[in-house]
Amino acid sequence: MILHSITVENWRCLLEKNEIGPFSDRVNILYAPNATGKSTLFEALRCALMDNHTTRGEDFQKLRPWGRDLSPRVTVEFSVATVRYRVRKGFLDKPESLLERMENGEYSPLAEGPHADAMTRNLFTRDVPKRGMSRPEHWGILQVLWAPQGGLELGELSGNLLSDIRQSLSAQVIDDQTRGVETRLLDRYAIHFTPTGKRKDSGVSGLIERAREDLGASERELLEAESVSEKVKELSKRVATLRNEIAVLRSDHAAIEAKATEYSQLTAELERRTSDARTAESEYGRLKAEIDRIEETTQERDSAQRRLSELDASIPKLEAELEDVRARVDLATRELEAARNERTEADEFLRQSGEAGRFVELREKIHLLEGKIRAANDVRTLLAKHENEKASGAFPDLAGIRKIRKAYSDLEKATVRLESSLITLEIEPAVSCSGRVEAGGEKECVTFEAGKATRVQGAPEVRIDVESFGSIRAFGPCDSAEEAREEVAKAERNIGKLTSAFGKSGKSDIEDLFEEGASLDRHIERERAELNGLLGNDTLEELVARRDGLNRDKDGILARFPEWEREVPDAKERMCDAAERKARADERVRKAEECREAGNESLSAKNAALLLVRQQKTTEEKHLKSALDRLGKLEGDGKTIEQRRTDRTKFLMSWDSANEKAGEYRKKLEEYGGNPVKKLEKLLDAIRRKEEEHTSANEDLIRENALLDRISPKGAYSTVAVLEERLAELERQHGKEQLEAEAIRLLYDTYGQCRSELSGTVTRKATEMASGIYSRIVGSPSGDLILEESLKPAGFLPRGIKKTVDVNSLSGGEKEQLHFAVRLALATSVGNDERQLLVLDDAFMATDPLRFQRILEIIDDAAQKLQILILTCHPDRFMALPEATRFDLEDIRGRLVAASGS
Amino acid sequence: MVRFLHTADWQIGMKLTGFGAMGERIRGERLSAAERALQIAQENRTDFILITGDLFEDNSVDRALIQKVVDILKRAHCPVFIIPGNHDPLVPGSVWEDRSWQAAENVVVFRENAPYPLPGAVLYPCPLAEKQSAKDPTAWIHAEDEERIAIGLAHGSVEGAPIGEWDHPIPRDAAARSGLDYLALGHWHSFAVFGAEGSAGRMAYPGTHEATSFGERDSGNVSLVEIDGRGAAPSVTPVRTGALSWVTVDERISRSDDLQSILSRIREMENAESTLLKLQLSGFITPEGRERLDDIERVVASRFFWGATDFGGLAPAPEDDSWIEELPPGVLREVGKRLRTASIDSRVRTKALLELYSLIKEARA
Repeated sequence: MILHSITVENWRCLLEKNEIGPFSDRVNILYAPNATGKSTLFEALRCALMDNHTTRGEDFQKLRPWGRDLSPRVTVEFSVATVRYRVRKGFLDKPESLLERMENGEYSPLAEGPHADAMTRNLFTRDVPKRGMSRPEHWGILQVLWAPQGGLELGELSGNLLSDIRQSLSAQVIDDQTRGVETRLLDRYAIHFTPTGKRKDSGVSGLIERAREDLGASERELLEAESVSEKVKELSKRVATLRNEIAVLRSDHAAIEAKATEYSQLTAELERRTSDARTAESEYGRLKAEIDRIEETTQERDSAQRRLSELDASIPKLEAELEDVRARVDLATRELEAARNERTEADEFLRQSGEAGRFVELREKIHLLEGKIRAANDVRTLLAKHENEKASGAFPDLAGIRKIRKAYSDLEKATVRLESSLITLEIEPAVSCSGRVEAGGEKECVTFEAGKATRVQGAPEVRIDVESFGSIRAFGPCDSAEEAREEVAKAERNIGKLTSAFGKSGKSDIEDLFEEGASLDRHIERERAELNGLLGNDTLEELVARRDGLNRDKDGILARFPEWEREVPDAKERMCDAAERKARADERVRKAEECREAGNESLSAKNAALLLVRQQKTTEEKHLKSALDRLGKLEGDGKTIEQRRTDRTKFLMSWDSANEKAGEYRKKLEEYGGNPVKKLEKLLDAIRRKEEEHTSANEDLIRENALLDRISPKGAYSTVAVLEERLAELERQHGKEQLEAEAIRLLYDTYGQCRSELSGTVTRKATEMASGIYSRIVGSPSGDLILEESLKPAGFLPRGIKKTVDVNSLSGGEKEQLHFAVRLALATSVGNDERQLLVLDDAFMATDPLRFQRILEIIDDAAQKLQILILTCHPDRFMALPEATRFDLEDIRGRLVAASGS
Repeated sequence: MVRFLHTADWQIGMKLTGFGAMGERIRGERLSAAERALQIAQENRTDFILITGDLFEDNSVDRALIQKVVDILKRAHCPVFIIPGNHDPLVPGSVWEDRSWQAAENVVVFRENAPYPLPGAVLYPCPLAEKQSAKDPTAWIHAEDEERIAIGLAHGSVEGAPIGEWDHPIPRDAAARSGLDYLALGHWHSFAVFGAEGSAGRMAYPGTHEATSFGERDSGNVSLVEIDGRGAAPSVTPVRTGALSWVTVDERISRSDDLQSILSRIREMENAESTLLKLQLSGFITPEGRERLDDIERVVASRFFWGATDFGGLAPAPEDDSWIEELPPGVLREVGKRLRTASIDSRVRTKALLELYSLIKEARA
């Protein structure tokens, strides 16, 4: 792409219509101070070529001139593959897009609206921005060619760019013939597939689909024709069958018609006779019933009269029996009352006998309780005495005596040890003398009597100054006496401590005390056990209270029976008498009750019998009246019963006669072997049904025939034949195309794989180019750049050093120089034979003057292949590019303002 | 004596799937063949013409076709007797109910099994009223006591004959058993005469008057039949009426010369303008043979009435390295190597390889 001019209006700080150009197709320097719109121009250029004019995101809202409600517009003139274009776009409130192509020296519209956006973008990239302003990943090759402000660093190459660059670079390692094959392969591929690899529809599939639909419709017509034909065939058969069946039925009908007439006449006669018989039968029956009712009613009347007489006779007898029973019941009632009185008395005697028993029992219990209370009082007194004795004295217990015994044992052992550790000096002088104990005992004067042994014990030595004799000193083992003495003292202290409570310290005294205490304990224990045995679970107070209660009960009984105070009753004997009296009284009551119950029952029965007889009499009186009433009605015509019987016989004879005649006709009818009239009716019904069926089938046949007449001329089979042939031809064509497409895809994919496997070569080639450029910048062969598979700079291998230096470890200047080298290498690689626009916006700010001069030389050389646009605020730095075309943006804007002012 | 032309299975309106636009012309040729049949009848002064079934391919053929057939038959110099066959059975709405038949006075379409007397002969027609049946359509014929020449007309499968559509069975001794002098048959598309063992052939299929498909033997004829008298052996002579030849060439290629030889063969094939050629090749192909295929395709497409090639069975021999050696070294040769071993349908693989060669050829040009 070569940029010819750019015109920007209402775009951020560029308010007026700023037209920059024409640009040289070599080096262009656009300079201006900061914030005067250099980068804005670059942004407008990108929007013109990459963005959809209808986008209204936040990014685009920011394009409006500050503080104004104007719509940004841009126009760019450029060339791609020697064709010159002009694209004009308006954003936000006045969206428009127009792509024009230079034809015969004039611009002609090529596309407008979204098509213009897409067509313009497709000249550079296959990647489409989804929302908002396009980002570098959407720029295609321009990602490499256009370095944004201060952003020489090349990031990850995105979208289809990487494969484009690879293709471009690897194209340089294949020969012309292969390239020719590749071009043709791509053309073939494009015939069958879209750029995204989807199968293109050649239109045959649609034709096949339509042919299948047409064929389906025609096949349905064909099937319908066959179906209707089949239906017509079936209906024709059905109509013929029905016609035959109707003819047969009609023939049968004619044959039985005469018989049916005769049969009808006989049937009518039979019915007449049968009717006569029914009338006679009816009259006979009526008379018979009438006579029967009169006879029955007469019998009923006589019977009622007879029963009334019998009832009248039975009532006085029943009344006498009732009186007799009533008298017997009164007698039984009196006997019962007497028996009950006797039983009451027996009950009272029995209760008194019970109290006598209770009185005797209370006396015995009180006596026992008083004995127990006395004994308990004695034991308790003794126990109290012993407990007081024990409590008032000090007696060692078993544990205490054990400790004391041990203390005495310890004392004895310590004393023995002390004795054994002391040096004993025994002097038995022949002549009495005096001396003084100087060591081993109390320093005291001692008199030694002649012939009497005097002992002095001590430790560690015993020394006695014997008057007029001298000093006698005895010594020996001297290391245990003090310890033994201490043990003795300790044992004595212990004994004192343990026995201090008892007021005695003698061993035997202590032992006696212990024995005395133990004896008291044994007494106490025994007395407590005895007391517990006497009281059980009770206390003594409880026993006393119980005894007092029993005394009160006894006193209550004595209040009722004071004689028992004098003479205690014989409870057992009284109880036996009372039981006997009670049994006798109960028996008498039982018998009296039974007797009265029997009397009452008899009385009820007699009463009921009398009532029943009286009710029967009333009923019979009613029956008699009813019978008399009915008889009056039945005989109301005044005929006698004999006259009625004569009439009945007459009707019976008429009935027999009619029945006989009817039997004769019935026999004649039976000779027909069935009812021909019914058969005739059935036949007529069958004929009617068949005719209806025939009419219906015939109508169906006519209708289906009409349908067949409509369908048959369509010649559906011929249509199907032609459509099937067409479909087969289309399917054959489709199959051929499919095979061709699959073969082309296989070839394309295989070729693509082989090409991509040249990536190693490609990466090497790009690396060599970038390394060469970087070495020129440095001024001598500095080393090799290292590119990743994605062609992103990964590091630098300095000459003579085997260790790779990470890009991020380089200085800011080195880093931007290195990225510039890679960009330039890739930019010159991808362009094929077409010049491309390389944009450098405020680049090389960290590069030193010497290397910068070398970069300018490289840029000058690169201008052989590239159009270069440098945006800078330091135009002086680029003075070494005298051939460059320069644009002073400030000056251009100043002129525009002046022009608009004038 | 009677002399008549016996034909059947004209299958007018038949489907010709796979022939593309040429189907219409092939259908047209069947009408032309019908006219030639009538011409032969006239030239041989036949007493009548018998058409024993399947005059039409289907009862739902275009009514214009019925009219065309009626127009042809009306021009016959003698009476034409027709029985419906299994393709055009006598059913409601069939071709036989078309009004155009009313104008053909010399044409009789038999609609029932009943003897039809003619001067010196009696016809015993067996029209079919259904497409398929396991009944013998000639079972009703009893001509044993007939004094005149008895001729049956039936459509069905003679027992033992290699007929695909096996229905309406006709016993092999149907003519002898029924007392017929000749039983004119239809259904089989190839000419064939049958007779009871040790006696004259009294049952015959004339075959279709114009071949209907590839592989049909002895089709494209009508039969001229002469019977001297009651009991005499009939003379049955096939006469060519078909204009089209249906030829299948199915060859296996093993050497590169084979393709050249096939090319020469089809270039020299006679009556190519009336021949339908189906050429199927299988086996191995070499790089130089690839161009022969283009030549063969061109000749088949241009020289014949109709032609189709199927090279799907051809593939490079696995051991044939010339396919690789002849490719330019580098990427293209590598592509060739990979294509040859690609795990994909061999037709696609072969086609891709041929495309590669084609692209290289174009690039070189």
